[in-house]
Amino acid sequence: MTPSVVAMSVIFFIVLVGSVVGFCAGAGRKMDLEEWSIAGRSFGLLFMWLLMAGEIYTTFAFLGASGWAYSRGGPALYIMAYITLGYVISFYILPYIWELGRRHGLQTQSDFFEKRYRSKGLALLVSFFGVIFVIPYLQIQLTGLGIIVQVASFDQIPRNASMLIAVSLVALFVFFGGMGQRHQGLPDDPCSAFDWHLRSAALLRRRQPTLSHACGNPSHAPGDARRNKDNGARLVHLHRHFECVRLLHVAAYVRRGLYR
Amino acid sequence: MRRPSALAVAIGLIPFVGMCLSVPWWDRITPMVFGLPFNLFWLILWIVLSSGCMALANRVEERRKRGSAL
Repeated sequence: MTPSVVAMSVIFFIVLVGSVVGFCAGAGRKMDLEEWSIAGRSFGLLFMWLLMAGEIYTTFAFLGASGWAYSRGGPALYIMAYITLGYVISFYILPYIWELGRRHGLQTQSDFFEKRYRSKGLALLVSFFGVIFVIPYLQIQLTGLGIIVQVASFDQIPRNASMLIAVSLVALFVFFGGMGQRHQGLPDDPCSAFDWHLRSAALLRRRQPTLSHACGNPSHAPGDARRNKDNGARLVHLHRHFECVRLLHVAAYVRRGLYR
Repeated sequence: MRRPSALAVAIGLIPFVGMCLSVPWWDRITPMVFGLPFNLFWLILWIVLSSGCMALANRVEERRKRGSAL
């Protein structure tokens, strides 16, 4: 067994396990938007802990931090401090956000901003910039992933191939994770990812009460669509659409965490 | 949802003091601990100690929550 064979089998094993877990994740669950985007607010302690680990060990942890330390030396030690202190701060903030989200049925970042600051414009801005800035981030992460796989496999797996495989897997996970939505009246075979985006946006529009509505009348159950129709703020629809694109990216991160 | 208690916040500030606000006192190479320069060792130590602080803060909060529920 040469080192490259060992490395290759480790990589394939991890990707295989991650894929199986990823594909099975959505099976046997009645899928609605809440289930699809935030797993019905039901992450357990262990799963949350693993996801947090996946959040920390990004491409930056493997390539960025080491490269930073190599080129700049000692100052790179700040990385150890800021990650730790970031989690300290989250202890005081996140329970509040979680509680607010649970109480008002918030699902996304801009939902939170709209609710908390009572401003649709701000929510729109947040989701807009969320979409814009996720693009270079995704690009950097994928490039880093390609480099890491290339190096870890002793140049056996070319960089572009690993990036392509990663993107396809992510797309498939998100697709199959969201497939359960056909129970909600979507056709069985959305032909392309973009088309599916649009359909999901439509789904969102149909099923989500607008938040301003929810603010005014907390008694309205989520999913009470018809009453919200007259509320019909175009801005909210637009921001929902942005939000949907963003959701896909976020889900992609979460799933990618499995084999990052 | 109430604000965290002052005690819990104070406990949460300890890691900040340990890692951020006291750099001149521990930013040195010697003594080496476990083969690590002292500042690196100090930061790694505080990752562990921060978890301890958070456990303590959590305990304070939980106790307060239980106290108000009774």
